[in-house]
Amino acid sequence: MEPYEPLIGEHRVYIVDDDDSFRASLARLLSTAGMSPIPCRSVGDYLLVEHPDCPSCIVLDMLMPGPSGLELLASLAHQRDAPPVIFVTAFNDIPATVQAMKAGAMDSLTKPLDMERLLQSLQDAIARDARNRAARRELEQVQSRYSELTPCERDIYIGVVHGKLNKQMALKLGICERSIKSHRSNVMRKMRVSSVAGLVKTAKLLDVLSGTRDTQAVSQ
Amino acid sequence: MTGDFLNYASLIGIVLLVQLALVVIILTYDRRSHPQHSAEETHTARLALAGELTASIAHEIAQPLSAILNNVETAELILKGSPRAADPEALGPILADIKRDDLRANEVVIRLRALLRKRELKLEPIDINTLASSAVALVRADARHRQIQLRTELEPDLPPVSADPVHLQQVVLNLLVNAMDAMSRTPPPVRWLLLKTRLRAGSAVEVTVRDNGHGIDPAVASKLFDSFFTTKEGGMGLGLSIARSIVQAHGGTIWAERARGGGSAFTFRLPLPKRQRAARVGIPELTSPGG
Repeated sequence: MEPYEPLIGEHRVYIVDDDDSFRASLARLLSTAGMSPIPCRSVGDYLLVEHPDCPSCIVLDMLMPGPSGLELLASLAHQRDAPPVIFVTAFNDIPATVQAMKAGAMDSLTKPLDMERLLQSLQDAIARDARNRAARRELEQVQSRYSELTPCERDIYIGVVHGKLNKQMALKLGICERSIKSHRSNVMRKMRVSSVAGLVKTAKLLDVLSGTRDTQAVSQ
Repeated sequence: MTGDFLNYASLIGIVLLVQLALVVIILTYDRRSHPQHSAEETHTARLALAGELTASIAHEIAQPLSAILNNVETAELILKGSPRAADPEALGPILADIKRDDLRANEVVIRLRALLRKRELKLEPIDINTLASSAVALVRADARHRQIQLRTELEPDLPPVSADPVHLQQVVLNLLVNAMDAMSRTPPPVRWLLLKTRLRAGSAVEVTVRDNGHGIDPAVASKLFDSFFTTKEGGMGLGLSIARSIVQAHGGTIWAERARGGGSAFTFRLPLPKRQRAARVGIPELTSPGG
């Protein structure tokens, strides 16, 4: 196991393939290489199996009885937290590969699998999922913090991230500058940032920089 | 004069009648007689059939080969981890799986070789269910590719029939491929194909391939088994014609029906050897058990 450093931390590799020999042999290979495979013999099995909250990816066969790999891929496209998919086809089916990549597969491999390439692809996919999960968690936190702001504080939040001075905001909102300052410090506290730069970063996540003052849409 | 004329007229009339009769006889004779296909033709049709199934066969071989490669890579990883003392407990199951998958790939090759071999009809006792399962195995990947559900209903313990397995397999494959082709415009969720075997009245074995496809146009029903008649784009129109020749060479019959609820059903019936027949209807005979 020397050439392949085991992935750091908990993860899952779902192997969705109806061929018993292939699925079992790949699961065995991945366990030996220090990974945590979950064999699933159909799309239905994949959907029913437990999905722990850890970086994952799916090694997906194209043709299976019941829903096909492409159909699973299409339904995953609607899910925000879907893990990356590595497509596997039995023979070099170019139209199917193109379809799979268009449908959002991260990579496409042909059987028999080249182990180096597969392990590299799996590591990339899991790393990407780890990043995606971290980004989603951060966004959720920022969203929940933002939702705690009062309407007035939201106005000030938008003003600050657009570089407005306290004086300008006081004039526009018709409240005194002292109140603006107090609201502003509340905004910083509630958003858990210590600088305007930090606040702008959260605004970027919430995607309110380019938009108008449509604060309602932001909180959704 | 008038008498001469009448004589001539009746003579011409008779000649015309005889000619007409001849033409009718020739025409109907030609239509009724089923041209026997040469071994060459039959073999060519079989090659074409194999060609149609190439993707399916490649898939059936690639699957076990991929599994073998995975297992070999695993074994190598294990050996790299502990080169001195490779754990027999870890390697044992891997080797067993490699062996199993190797045999599985080899079986496909054997089936394929049988399909491609050129030979004259050679009768031997065969189990029709084994033959049916082997044909189904060859088209399975193709069926999956076309999103067709493949079902079999095989009557257990069928008596062996006297047949040429290669030629008969060609018939079954042909019916399966036709059935799949007929469903190209059927919506995928209701694409299914049923291969059924059964014993008829203790004296014959029947194999039916039923699909849920476009069915048989009544206008062409009578021509289905004619040479060079085809409804497929790019089809040769030899498959069913040769299938009929093969079935007839076995003393059997083949026919097509419009199936209830849509689609069509193609059935061929092969007579059981006399000895089998007697054994089936319960006449005591001094035969070895299981014969």
